[in-house]
Amino acid sequence: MNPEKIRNDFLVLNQKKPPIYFDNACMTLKPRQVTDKIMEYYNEYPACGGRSNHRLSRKVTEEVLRSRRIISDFFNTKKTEEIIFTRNTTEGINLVANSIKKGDKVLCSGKEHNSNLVPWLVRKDAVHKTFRFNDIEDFNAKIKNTKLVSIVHVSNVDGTSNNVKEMIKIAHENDAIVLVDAAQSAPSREIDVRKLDVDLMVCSGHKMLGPTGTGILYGKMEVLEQLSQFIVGGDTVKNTQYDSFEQEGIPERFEAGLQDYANLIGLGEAVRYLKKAGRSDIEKHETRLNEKITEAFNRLGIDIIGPKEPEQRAGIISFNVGKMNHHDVALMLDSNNIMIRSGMHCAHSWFNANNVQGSARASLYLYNNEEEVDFFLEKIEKIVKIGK
Amino acid sequence: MVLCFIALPVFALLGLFSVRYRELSKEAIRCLFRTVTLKPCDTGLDQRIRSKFTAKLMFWPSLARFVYAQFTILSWFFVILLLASAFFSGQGLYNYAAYGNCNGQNSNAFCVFNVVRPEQQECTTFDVKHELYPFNVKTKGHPVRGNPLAKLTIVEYGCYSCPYTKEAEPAVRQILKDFPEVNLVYHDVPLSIHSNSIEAAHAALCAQEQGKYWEYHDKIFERQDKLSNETFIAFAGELELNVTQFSECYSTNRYQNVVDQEYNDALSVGIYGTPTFFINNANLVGPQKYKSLKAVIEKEMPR
Ligand SMILES: Cc1ncc(COP(=O)(O)O)c(C=O)c1O
Repeated sequence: MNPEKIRNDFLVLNQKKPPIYFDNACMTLKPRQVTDKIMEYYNEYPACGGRSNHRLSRKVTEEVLRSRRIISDFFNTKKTEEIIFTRNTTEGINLVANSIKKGDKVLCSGKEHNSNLVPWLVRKDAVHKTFRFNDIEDFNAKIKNTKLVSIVHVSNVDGTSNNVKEMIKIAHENDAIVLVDAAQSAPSREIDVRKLDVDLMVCSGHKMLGPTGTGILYGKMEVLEQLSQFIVGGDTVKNTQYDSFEQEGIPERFEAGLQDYANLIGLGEAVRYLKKAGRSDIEKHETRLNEKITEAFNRLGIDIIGPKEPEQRAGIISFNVGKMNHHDVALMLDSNNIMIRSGMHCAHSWFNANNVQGSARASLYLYNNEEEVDFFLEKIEKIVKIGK
Repeated sequence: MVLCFIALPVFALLGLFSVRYRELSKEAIRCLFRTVTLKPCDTGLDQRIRSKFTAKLMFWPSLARFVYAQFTILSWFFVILLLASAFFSGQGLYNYAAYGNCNGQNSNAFCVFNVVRPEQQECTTFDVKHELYPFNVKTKGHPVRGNPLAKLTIVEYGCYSCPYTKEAEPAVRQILKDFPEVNLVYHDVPLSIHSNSIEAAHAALCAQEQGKYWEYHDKIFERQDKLSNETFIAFAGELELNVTQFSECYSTNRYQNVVDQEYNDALSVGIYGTPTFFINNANLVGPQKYKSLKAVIEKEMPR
């Protein structure tokens, strides 16, 4: 993987004064290949998929299927149909949560995104429990009678991971199914759903070079078959009477109404791009840049949230500069053309429980380079002086 | 946060031109309201201003650190400054409305409000604004600048030590250059409120005696900030006049009667400020822009 060559594919990075974009955990930039593919749909076959019997419609259906195949191959699913398109990770989790019944116990870690917390909390008759993040012992202690384990793979708060492989094994021994929130891991970790033996997995296309408003729900066929339909209507049914309907097969039954074809096709292209770049290379690249940042932060006395070892955090570095407010840090960096995120990163529950006001978070990706890191560190050093 | 006192008027003004600032002024209003009710500003506006401001100073870390740490105190300082300047501006506005001069009655000091309407400036002479009597304008026997056979004459009433008369000079000269059909007659209206103005009138007439009226006229305006008895003599030398003759003329007020006559003529025309221009029956008071002179000339030019 050659980051300099990769940078050429991103138009924003080829502006006169390109942004130093370190907010990749929220949303990544999109390469030309993806935007070209989207425009291809609009310019060449802007029709509906699936329904109509004409050339353009067949082309759309074909392209969406191609996209689904690429993604299926990317995660090594058994069947292509096990990939369901959603709008984002949040929608995927809600789709699963929709099948939760009264009294079902859902076990989550203590460092979940609101998207993997609120869908369970709103179901007042479900039992929501938490275990300490990546604490197998605590997990073991709480797994009994759990219906569904819903855990984040890589945390967006600090980049640390749950040992999902081990947890899935334990969960299965206890007859629980497991939903993994791979929003942060899918973009830069090799994930083989069959090796992992995960039952359900969700991620967002826009965090992995894909178009906005695209998400993926993977599920083992036998698990998907047990899920209730979520949003229903056109395309989710085979046939209807005035008083009844016959549901479609999978994945169609979960993809209601006309789809965001352009973006779904674009998502396939993004995943193809990622596959070519190589996820393990991306992870290594992120870690290498993070090592440099971590080293400098240690020297400058900046508090890093999470483990000190950069390889445990890969592309994410969550930090606080002394007593300075995290938003101030982000705003000052913004004035220097550096984009990071600040706040509680949609994981208020963890920050509240740990009595932390929030953090500044830099998150890296394949197109970031040493030069950007150096510039970032130079500015951070100044900010440290200001906060003294 | 107190800074909203400043942010609001600034954003409101910019908001006239851009929607973005309209949103910011709404935030500032909310912030201001919360500040006066002693609640913290909850839109993050104060934080954004503070951080962005500090970031601008990052090149000087210690200054940035000071600003960042003492931002509230600095904000108070600027707010007080703003309120004070608002008070004085208000006072000035009142004076301007009441007396036509923002510095109050009987003051000759510079008034910024005049700048807003430059066409309205003039050096006040005798009276408040009133009608002029162009039919009393005389041109016979006065030195003429430009084509003596021109079809149209600009008659200017000016004062040698009036800055506004000086300000009008370039436009007038440009007009004479661009319109060969136009010439200029200049009446001097020395104003006793300006120092050296009467002296300049005498000096110019002494130069006229030696045939260098316009050269001397230009010299006076060129060096308007340095007029004195010595410089008047020096000008004569620079223009290669007979200095002895000039000095004698000047020191004995040889043209006192002309100066008096000019003054009375100006009164009969009703001049109340300099410069005043007549082009046929049209008149313009105050230093004119080329554009406005040109417009009148084109309208008045005989066809
Ligand atoms: C770990 C994790 N889960 C879920 C989400 C929600 O993703 P989306 O907003 O795309 O639904 C995010 C995104 O911030 C995330 O980082």
